[in-house]
Amino acid sequence: MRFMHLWPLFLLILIPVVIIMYLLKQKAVTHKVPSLFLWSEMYRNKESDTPWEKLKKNRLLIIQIFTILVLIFCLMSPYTAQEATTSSNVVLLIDNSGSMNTVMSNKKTRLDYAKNAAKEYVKTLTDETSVTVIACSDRTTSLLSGSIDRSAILSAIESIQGTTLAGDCSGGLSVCQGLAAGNTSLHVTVFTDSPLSLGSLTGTIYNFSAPVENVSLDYVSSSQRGDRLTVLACVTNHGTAAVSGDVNLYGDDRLLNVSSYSLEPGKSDIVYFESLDFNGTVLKAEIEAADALILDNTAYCISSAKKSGKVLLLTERNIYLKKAIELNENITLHETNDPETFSGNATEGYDLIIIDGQEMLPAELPSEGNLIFIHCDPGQFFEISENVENSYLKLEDSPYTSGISDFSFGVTSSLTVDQPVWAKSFISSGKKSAGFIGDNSGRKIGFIGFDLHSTDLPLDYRFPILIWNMISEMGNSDLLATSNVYCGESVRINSSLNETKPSLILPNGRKEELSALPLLYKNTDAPGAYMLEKEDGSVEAFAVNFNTVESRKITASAITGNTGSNTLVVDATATSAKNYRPLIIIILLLILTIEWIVYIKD
Amino acid sequence: MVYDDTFNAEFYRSLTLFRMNLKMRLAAGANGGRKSNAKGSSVEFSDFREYLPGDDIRRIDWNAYARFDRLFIKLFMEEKEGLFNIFLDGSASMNFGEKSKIVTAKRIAAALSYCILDHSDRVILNFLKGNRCETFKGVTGKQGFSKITDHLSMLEPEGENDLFKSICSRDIKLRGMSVVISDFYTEHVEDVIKYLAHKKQEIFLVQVLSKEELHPELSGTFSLVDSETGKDLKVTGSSSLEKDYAAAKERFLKKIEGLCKKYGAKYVLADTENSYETILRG
Repeated sequence: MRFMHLWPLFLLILIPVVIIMYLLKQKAVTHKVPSLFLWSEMYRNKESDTPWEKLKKNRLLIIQIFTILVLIFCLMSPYTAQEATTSSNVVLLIDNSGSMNTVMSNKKTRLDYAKNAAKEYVKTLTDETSVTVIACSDRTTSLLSGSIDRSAILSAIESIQGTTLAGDCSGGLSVCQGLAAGNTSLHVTVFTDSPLSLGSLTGTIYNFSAPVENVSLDYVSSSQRGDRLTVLACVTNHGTAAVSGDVNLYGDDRLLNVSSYSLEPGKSDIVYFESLDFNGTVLKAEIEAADALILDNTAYCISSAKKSGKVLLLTERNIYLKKAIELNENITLHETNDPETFSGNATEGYDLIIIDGQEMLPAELPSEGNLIFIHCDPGQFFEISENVENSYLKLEDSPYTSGISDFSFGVTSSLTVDQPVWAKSFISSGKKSAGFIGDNSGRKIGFIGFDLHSTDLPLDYRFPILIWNMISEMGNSDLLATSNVYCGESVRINSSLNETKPSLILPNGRKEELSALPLLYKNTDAPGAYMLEKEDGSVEAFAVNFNTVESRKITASAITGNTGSNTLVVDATATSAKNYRPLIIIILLLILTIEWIVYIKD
Repeated sequence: MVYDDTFNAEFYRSLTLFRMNLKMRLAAGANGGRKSNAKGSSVEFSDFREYLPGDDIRRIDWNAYARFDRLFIKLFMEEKEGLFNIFLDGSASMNFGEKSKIVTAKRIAAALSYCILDHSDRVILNFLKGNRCETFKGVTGKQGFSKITDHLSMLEPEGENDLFKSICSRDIKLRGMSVVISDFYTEHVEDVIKYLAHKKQEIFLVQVLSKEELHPELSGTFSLVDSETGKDLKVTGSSSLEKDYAAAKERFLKKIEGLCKKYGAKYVLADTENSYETILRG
């Protein structure tokens, strides 16, 4: 039997208090009698009856002391727990991902339960057992390594805070795999609500994935139709009962519209808000009713009603390229075949200038805007290495070829370069690069080494995707590469010639000064709208949303299937420990009844 | 005659009407007014016996000689003086009660003395105090009664007293009757009876108890203090306590009564609420 709390032992002080009160109660009136002979005889006879009779006159005191002891016992919440492991090395992996913020019974979160279970688990270990404490989510944080100090272990467990991040304990398991390589007696104990397999590791998984009622707002998105805005939000019911409610849509903290939803268990629905008159930046959709997981009740997006990028295409004639560029709705395309018209400062105001062919190269390169050079040598920014003939080029894995990489195509002729240090290649020709994008002193420079007329790439579906990605990256002068990420994901903030020290306004209102652009901004744990304030007073924004993959864990049967051959799975949401408190309360009430009867009788 | 709270005018008035015969068989002692087993020279005829040489020839019954031709002498009853020892317990416990036990005890002693003197017997008053026996010289004749009451009036109980030790300190040489007036709060009641029986005494125990001892009324928590020893005992008044005390008291009284029956002693329980006449006739 173990105890949840030890503080009630402090109440033992009540016992001497009760005894003192009894002594005070015994303050007797002095009464003179001729002799104590008869009184002594009386007690002598009583004492000779039974040993119990000696205590009979103090029955109430004994009952009251017993009552206090039972009360203390009750407050200490006794329970019987699982047996501790005999391993000398234990690793505690405690999942603190977003789903662990799910509120269970008694207003406690899964993480609270997990921490309590971990602390009780530690108490069952022998004093010589060394314990490592690791908090796991998208990030793996080692809080304590190989300690036998119980108070330090308990403090480390208590210090774990819930996060908004997606993820599970797989990162922690990788650490454990490494630890197990040099330690055969390693026991891994996982406290999680995520599906998990310990593989060859020996351990226990405490499962906290009991189903709860929860509705998530998976995403919110907007599109501009003329001067009106259309917003859609996806709502999913993860609970076991049908629900209905309202989704409130806010624009820059002003309520724009309210729409209702009604969902069967496990179903999703799209909620539309149409013809909105909103010219602001931040859209926030919110489910009104509170449920088990609050974090997924709100979703943010940045309104698409922002200025379109201006793109200048210098080309003799390239219909494939033009059509691919025009797929991007956020840009305004200007086309010319006279490079001199736009040489030097004449290209001012364009976000991107695409120079298609050596003959389109102006005498003086534009001083502003991003540049893409297609099959031409600008003579600056980079040096052409060689011109390869009749070769195969390959789409490399890069941000611009996501989903279309590992594709080879033939070209009759292509310029290649040694990849500049400031650039990221996305088309390779052997060890050389035939296509890259990079940031050169605040300007984005792109390069495609071959003539699009001399390859079959434009005939492949990958071509418009590649061009769309390139234009999205380079087609405007925004500092932000993206406008929507999940909590914990990094956001690239590009450099700019005109921008040296922008500042970022966080969702909590705090302003953070940024420096040394470009940078990957990683402090995106808090969901909400992050406003990038530029020196010219304009504002860019990106939305950070809670990843609703975590919401799906609420209904997922987390610990099923292959959990590992040496794994014990404990359903921690059921009563893993038998609690004796209700039984003791009944005993306490019986004792109080007996005390009352004895009091009346005496 | 001295009047005080104990021996007031009412007491004396009641005493004139009080009569009590204390039966006692005597064979020795001084001449007195009580019939004895001894033959003597009183006027009361007792028996005949044949003349033996040496007998007083004045007592020969010449009428019997004439009739039977043999010499008989007439025997007459000897009248002896009864010797009464009255032992009065002088321990502090006797000075207790709304109606004091010592007052009742003194009145009983005085009334018994009056009756004894009325029968021309001798009273020796013994006051038991501090494990010793203070003996007042023997008194005979009614004229001595005032001496007894005067002496009783002066006696004040105090301190501890071992009844057995104090009685043993009195060396009783002659057969007689011993009256012990006490509350008998001692373990040695049987020893006292045995000792007096050994001294050829007819024994009369008068146990004096007050209303507060016979029927105590205790409500609340009390520290009972022994009037003799000063020792205390904490008790909390309750119905069960009263029952227990009553049971202990009954056992105590029955034990003394049983001892008296066993050794042929007389026993009287004197409730201070009653008058001495009621007690002694009771």
